[in-house]
Amino acid sequence: MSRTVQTVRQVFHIQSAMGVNRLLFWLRKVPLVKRLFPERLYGAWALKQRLMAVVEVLKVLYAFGGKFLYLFLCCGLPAVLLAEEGGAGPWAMFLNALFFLSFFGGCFLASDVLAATLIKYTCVRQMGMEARACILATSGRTHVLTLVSFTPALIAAAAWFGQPWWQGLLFSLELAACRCLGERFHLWLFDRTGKPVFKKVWYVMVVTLASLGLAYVPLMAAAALPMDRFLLNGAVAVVLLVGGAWAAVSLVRYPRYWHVVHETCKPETVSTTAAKANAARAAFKDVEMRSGDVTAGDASAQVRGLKGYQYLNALFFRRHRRILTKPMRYELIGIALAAAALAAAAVFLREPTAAILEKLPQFLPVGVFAMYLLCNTLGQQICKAMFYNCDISLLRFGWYRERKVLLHNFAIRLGHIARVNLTVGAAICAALALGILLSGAALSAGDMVPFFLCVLLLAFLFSVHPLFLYYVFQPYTTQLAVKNPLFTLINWGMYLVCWMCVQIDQPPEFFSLLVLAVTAAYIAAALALVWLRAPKTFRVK
Amino acid sequence: MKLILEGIEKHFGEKQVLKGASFTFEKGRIYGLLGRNGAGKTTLMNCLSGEFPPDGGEFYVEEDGARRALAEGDVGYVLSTPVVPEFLTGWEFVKFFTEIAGRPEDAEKTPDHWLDLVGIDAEDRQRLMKDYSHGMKNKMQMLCFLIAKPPIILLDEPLTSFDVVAAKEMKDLLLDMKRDHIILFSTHILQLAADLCDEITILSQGLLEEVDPALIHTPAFEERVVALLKDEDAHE
Repeated sequence: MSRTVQTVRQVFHIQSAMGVNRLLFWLRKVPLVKRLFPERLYGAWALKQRLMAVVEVLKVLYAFGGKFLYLFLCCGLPAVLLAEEGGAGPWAMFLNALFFLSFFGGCFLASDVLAATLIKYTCVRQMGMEARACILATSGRTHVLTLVSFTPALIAAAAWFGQPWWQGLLFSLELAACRCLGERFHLWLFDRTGKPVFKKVWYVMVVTLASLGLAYVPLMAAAALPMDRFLLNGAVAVVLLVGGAWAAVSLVRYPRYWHVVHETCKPETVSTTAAKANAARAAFKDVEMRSGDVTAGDASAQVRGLKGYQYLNALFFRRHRRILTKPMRYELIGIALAAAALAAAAVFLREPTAAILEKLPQFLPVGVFAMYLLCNTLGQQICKAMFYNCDISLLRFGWYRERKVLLHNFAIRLGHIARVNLTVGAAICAALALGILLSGAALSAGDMVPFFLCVLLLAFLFSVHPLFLYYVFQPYTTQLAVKNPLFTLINWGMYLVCWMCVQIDQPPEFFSLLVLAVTAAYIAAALALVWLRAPKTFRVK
Repeated sequence: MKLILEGIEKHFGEKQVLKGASFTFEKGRIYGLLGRNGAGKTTLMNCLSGEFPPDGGEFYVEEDGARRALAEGDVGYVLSTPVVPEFLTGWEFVKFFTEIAGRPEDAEKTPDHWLDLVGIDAEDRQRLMKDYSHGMKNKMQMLCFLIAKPPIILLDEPLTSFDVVAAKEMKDLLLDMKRDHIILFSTHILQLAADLCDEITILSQGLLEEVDPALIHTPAFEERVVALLKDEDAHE
């Protein structure tokens, strides 16, 4: 047993050290503050031990504060706000919410023993420590802290609702007992299935819905299930506490913790480099090359007759039809069907259709957002594919980063993307023009021309925009992470501007001219920035 | 032609990796860059290849007595982890590469000629490079130098992923190419350095130091290199 105790102490120590290192790591990222925390602090052992104590105190404070906040926001406040005269009363409602959220949901939705954590992975799998001692040190501590932090919070809650303090204490003990029973239940399931069942999506959804439903639906009607009588019943209390004690002893004696840690804590499931690399790769999964992307036509005389970057890009875009051309086809089919419906409406419901089409300029704000959705998404996807399948490797070559090469390549790529987006834009214009002609809508050239010009210019804008961001901010690292806040910010900014256009009910008359001017200015600025900045910024980070 | 490094400095955060590295590399010679793990070999190569700029010092090319800055196309760099455009087949990559970076005197040579040179099978030539092994990708990178012939070639741990036959072929290729190039490669394998290099440079304490070339093929070579590298511990 002394070896186990020693291991438990070692795990505490490692856990604290990891906590302090993490704190230092994040402090070193904060502007201004980071100067106060130089890198050598990682090795300042004496200071780190003091910091460990601070981190431990912070964790305990967080646990206590968290429980008070949780009981107040999730159980107390709904009970007080929804209580009505003649209803179940706020205390019963509070206990109803508490029981189904913490006793039921908390026990069935999570298992600390089976959770994949870095500390368990490090101690057991990497350092070969005793698995049982590690679980005792980590999960044991979590549950003890839960009991200790819930007790004052529940006593305070009992006092808030005018109940005796011992009720709060009893509920806290019962909750701890239920958590032990819950852990034992999850281990029992794990022994039978070989997998942590609480991570299955169907299981999470069923238990979450049941937990939330049972916790809050009765409260909506100012009612409550009699959980107060249940939890205060002497027999129930004895059964729960004895059961909980049995479960705790059983958990301490459980013989297969090594197997549990090896099954649940894998490099890709804990927060390690492997997990990050996996997540990054998953983000590029949709643009990964597939064997079906290569076709016989790629080796045709027409393609092989091309030279240099024309050849490279022709092959690139042929092999990424799945991302660019195929969605465009679906969009064109959708537009064709909409055009057919519009034509039918124009013939059979001539007047109402004409009346709607005469308001076409008023739909331009919605059109801005629609063009964003139709065109920008394609551009973003193809830029991701450009990086993952092409540029991540070719940017390693000096000749590929040369100014003239880079800009030449940009122009070819923009041509390919713009062709696709302008085709979509032209199809939209043609469909609308057909509807206008057939319905005889009274629209002048002064109304129509700016509208159609806007659609086409927006199609071009959303071809330039993703490519401009990619070339000027090149956000991806060799580890496939996105490391440029400005890239993310501008991307969101563009989305926000387009989305806000939808909120305009009555666009002013000059709206189309405004869109034309802003779009043209943005395109010009973006191209100028690519010309000036891309040769310096288009690098693999 | 000479590549001259003068007082190259580079630091990452508080850690200064290069502390004023200076050296002169000459055309027609193969230089082995030795150093312990974390000594800064890859950092030095990254600076020279333009991956990131040094924090201090300068490097330049001296040609016929005239001094000029390194141009992008001057340096060819093979990373220890080879990267090739995975959406292309080997054949397509070579066709593309010869068109954009090939030498006029090689204009008549076909992609198959080049692929024969590094021993990529006919069947593999028509496969996407994403399915190539590490060694095959490395061969494709080496092929880029054979085609583009950049005057300075940097190789980071180049031959470790090759099988015995491929490594021998690559060594012969490097020896064949060296006449027109400055070749600098980093390695941990002393035997390889001794076999292939005309000069050995030690990167220790952020500085470059030459090992007496006369020692390279003598039994004292290993002891001398180890002694130089161990000096690093003594200084720390």
